[in-house]
Amino acid sequence: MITGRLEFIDLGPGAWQLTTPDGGRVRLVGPIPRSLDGREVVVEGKRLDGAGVAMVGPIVEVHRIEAR
Amino acid sequence: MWTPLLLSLSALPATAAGRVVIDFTDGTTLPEARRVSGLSDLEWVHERSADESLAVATVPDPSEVVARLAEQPGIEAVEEPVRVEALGFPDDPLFDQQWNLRAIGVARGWRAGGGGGVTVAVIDTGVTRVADLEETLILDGFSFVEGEPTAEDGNGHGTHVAGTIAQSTHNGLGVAGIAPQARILPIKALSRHGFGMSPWIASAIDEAVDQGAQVINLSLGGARSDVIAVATEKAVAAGVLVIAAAGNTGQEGVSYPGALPGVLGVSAVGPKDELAPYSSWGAGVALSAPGGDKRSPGGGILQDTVDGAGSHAFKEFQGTSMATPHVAGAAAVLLSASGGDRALTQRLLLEQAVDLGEPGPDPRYGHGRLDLAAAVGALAVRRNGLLFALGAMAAAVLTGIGAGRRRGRALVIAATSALAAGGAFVLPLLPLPPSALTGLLARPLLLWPAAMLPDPYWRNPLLLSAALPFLLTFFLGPTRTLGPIAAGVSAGIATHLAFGAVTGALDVWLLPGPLGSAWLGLHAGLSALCAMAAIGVARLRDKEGAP
Repeated sequence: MITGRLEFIDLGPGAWQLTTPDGGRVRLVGPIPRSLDGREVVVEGKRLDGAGVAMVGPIVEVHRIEAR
Repeated sequence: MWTPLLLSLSALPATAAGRVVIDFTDGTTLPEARRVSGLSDLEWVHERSADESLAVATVPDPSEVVARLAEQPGIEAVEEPVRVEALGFPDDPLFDQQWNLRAIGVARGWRAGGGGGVTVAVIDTGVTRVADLEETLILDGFSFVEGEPTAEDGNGHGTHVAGTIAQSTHNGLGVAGIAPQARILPIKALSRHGFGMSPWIASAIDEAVDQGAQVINLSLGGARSDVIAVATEKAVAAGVLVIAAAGNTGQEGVSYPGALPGVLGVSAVGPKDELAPYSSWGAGVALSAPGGDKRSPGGGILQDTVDGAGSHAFKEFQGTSMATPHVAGAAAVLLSASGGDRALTQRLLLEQAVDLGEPGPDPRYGHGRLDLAAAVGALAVRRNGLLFALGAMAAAVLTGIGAGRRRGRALVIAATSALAAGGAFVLPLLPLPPSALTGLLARPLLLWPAAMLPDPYWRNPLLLSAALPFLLTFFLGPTRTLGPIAAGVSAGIATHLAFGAVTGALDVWLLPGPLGSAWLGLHAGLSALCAMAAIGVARLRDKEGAP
């Protein structure tokens, strides 16, 4: 489980990025409601080994996400 | 898409004395137009001109008709047709907004053939044939993504990337691409969410090599993966140019596979040639290219891409993903123009880049910002210019041996030989509208097939041989007017074949290494013999005084 600030960033077609309290950045994939943009969130998910189009940091597949 | 120069002139009949063109109020029917103007043989300019009620007629005295109809109600404009020159190339209406293509000097790349014959694998979210890719050569694609069996793009990223490389250009629609004559091989390794597992990406790279791609575009990145590293290593060893994004962290540290040895990692700059704030940088950045910076209006990279439910839209994206296909497109242009010379292409991409940041290569910009115009210029002058000069010299030697004192004929032979060996190498440097013809004329004769046939077929032993010199000499050699042309072409081809044998610049398919060099050397000799035979025949005729 990770927490941080969720943002839909303007890279390529757009991507979800989570900035953790220590400044780390994680790219989230999976269905995420646009209403959470800019909110502090809690994410449950799985770290994926691979590559993506956003290239902002480690990639986490979201299983559950909610505002804190 | 490469509309010939002549067709790019106005659709209106040119200079036709006796013709007037009349623009009636929209909605006017043809019978009404004939009645209003009093001109019975009036016709629409084109069947599509009926909407705008634009008509043309042949009249005995055009200036009288223009004067008479100028103030007539129901007529918006009337004039004698004016010839409209093709000043603007391309005619894609949104090209004005593509600062990124102008920044790299795309027009010179178009004049050098626009990447004809070269296959670029786009390993991405798939590629959908949107409206502005209609005329682009897109090969049958593959998908390695679980649950997404086709190479159709469900995300929009891959189609945008493919557009930067080979958007249909000069098609009167949307935007342009860097290498519009290149073949796009879409390989889906990223899902509609823009993410791919490492085995999908590794398999996609393997497949690209197997399918004969000469360039692989990887607008993707992540942590280091051994399977991707192995696949990439194999691709590089197979002679494929692998180009990958540096990443979008805005910090030091290039993402993989961009950071792998042998891969050209690409960082991104905005319209002011400054590193984009999102661009990663560090060891592994080989060069930078426009990736967009949307902090300034219009600062993104504009291409056509999918837009939701089966529709398309011209969208501005930013990212090192967008910078990468600029380099891939430029590589395709240079590979095509150089006859698939990978080492030369890579050298030109790096050496000719505009040095930014600290002098010399640096971690932010690598060798500098991509400059396709400079690279094409260097290729034209250094390689083709050299071949041109060598071709002329070879002809001078051969005619010195066999042609007697016919200076005019010797000159024709030398000029033909120079053109066959090096092509009209200055053509890409002149401000001419590009066309399929300039793309061919600008290159050595032996590399014409490279603009049309996919690699490796164009470099099969038969096409890199004395076959053409033999045929020309046999059929044209004995004729008075065309004999010297046959001699010149044979001498030029002999020059290029010999150059290839000595420098390794021509890679004969099916004949690797020394075998290829031996083949080229043998056929250089045979071609020279053909030239001498054609010269000898002319000399005999001189002696015999035959007509």
